[in-house]
Amino acid sequence: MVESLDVVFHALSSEPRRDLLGALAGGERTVGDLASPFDISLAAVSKHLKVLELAGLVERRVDGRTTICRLRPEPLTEAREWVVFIEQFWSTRLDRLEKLLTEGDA
Amino acid sequence: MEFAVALDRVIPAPRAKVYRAWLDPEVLAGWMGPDDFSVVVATVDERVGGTHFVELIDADGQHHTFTSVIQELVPDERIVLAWRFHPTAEDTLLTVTLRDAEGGGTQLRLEHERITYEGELDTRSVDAGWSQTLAKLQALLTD
Repeated sequence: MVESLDVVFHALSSEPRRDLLGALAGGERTVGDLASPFDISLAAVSKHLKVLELAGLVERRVDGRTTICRLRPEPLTEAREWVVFIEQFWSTRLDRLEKLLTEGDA
Repeated sequence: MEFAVALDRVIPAPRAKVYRAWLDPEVLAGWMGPDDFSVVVATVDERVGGTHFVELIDADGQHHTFTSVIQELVPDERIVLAWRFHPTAEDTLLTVTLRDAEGGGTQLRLEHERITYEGELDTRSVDAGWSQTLAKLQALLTD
């Protein structure tokens, strides 16, 4: 596991950060590009980007005087796998519950 | 963003029976463990604030415990548990709602919310879950 999923879940728990990820899904963006459609300051965008970067969801690189950001979708796959696991956990048990109660009637 | 799962099932049994299946330890023990797990002990202190506890042992002899605190009990309708996948895990919220299904039986809705990642349940468990489901599906199709 590259990053702790707790960090990923935390990063995804904020609407501005999800909006930033949405913007990055369209391709690489500079920090300035990312800030302009939102009613938030460059400093606030940088703060959110830092959280996303720590979660491994965003990569930043400096190109001359601009910082370019890129989406890294890999941690999202792990988060999704965990949710799928919980679904599977309950699905297996509900199968057994159903079987148990149905057999009880027989 | 809330990480949550929801499952809907129709169980061909009356609501009261499905409700008891979550709270009577001996019935609970009959379904809480998947095929390669067996329930060692299940105890339920049936009151709000009471502990709902299931201990299982897997095929490798590893013990697992699900320790929950009962948050809400509405007989034959609703059970809410602060569910923990192991004693030191963070609380998650498990809500089981029972309604009469249209064609008879019980409409069960299971909602599991506030899920955070737990390292205890590793990919081995995930694989076990999938393979069992496939085995069940196969058994069903060849019946």
